[in-house]
Amino acid sequence: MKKPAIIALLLISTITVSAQEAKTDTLQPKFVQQINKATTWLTDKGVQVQRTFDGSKSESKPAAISWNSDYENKKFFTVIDAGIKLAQLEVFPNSTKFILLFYPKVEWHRNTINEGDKKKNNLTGGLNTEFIWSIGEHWYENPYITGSFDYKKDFIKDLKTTQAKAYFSFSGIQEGDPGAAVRNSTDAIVFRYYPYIGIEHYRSIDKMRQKASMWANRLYIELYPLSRNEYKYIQLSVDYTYRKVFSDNLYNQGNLDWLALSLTFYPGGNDKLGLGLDYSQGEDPTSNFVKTKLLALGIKLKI
Amino acid sequence: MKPTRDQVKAAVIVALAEVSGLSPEKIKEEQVLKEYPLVLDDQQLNRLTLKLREYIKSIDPPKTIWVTTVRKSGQTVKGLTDYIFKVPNS
Repeated sequence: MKKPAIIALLLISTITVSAQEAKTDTLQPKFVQQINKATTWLTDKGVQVQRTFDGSKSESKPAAISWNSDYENKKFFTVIDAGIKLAQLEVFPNSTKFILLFYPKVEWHRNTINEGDKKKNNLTGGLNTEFIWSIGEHWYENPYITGSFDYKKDFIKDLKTTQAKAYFSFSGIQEGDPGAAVRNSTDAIVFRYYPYIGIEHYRSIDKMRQKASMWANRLYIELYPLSRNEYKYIQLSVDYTYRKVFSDNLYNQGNLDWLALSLTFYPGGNDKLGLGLDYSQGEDPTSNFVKTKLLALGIKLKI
Repeated sequence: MKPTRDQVKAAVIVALAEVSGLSPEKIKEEQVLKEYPLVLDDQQLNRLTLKLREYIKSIDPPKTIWVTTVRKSGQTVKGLTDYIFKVPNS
């Protein structure tokens, strides 16, 4: 069976499941129940599976296995974007003003497309950190920093790098604040946004110790247009990053743009298992900033 | 003096109302912190931890609550209330 036919079948079966869901309301399909059971078991063990753990709210995106088409070049390929967060260590558990956390993570980003620079196979391991300082109730009195130090192996380019990143933002509560929920009449979240500024430093290990330093401005927006009560069927996310390069003899590309749009349909009404459409354009940060433009359809999983 | 369970529950609900933007009347014991209607993200759960820690230290200063307890998968309003109720003099 051809891949477009498989995708169509997947869409039809997902919509069918959704229709059954609406009829039975709280009765979930068996495969959704099984996924939920497995994810609960893993999270009880302190393990999380998501798309990435880059210190930003992209972490709220589910991991994805997608069967895709490059609509410009009519090619089919598979993409895997998954990260596993293993455990959390809190350093000052008696502080009432700040929280400092560390956790190790592993990520795999794969794209099987057989076309020049677009092919991707990266494995990353590293340590992430979170620091939040709370001195009041306003969003500007609750700044936080998320950071990471990673070792990344790019199997396609045979490039090994270390990467240090730190992003600064604020945690708000009132509608309109960064990170705060905008709710509809049923108290379901329909919108939130997260702005970040930060610095990133990349250094090659085995390639003459070349390096790149950048300033990053990032905006992440989440929309849930069809949410009612506890059910959220559609998630639309917009993730845009502009990187201003300070110095770079590693990638040699100048300033960088990255836009990732994602539309995900959750048949069970929760965000654990879904079917999603991703569009990305610009210099891909998960693939050593290779210029990319692609559309992807696939299964999304968040634990 | 050790607070009653109802006093602990009221303190937990006030803290949750502050970080979620929901009114206290809408917060019930069976609700999961990361799910509807609270839907707290990690940074809001961090802020909640600091508020609950402050409350615990006002009744039993050497005791605390870890952020991993608050951010635990499936953690509920009841779970937090029971945890904090057991903390003083335990």
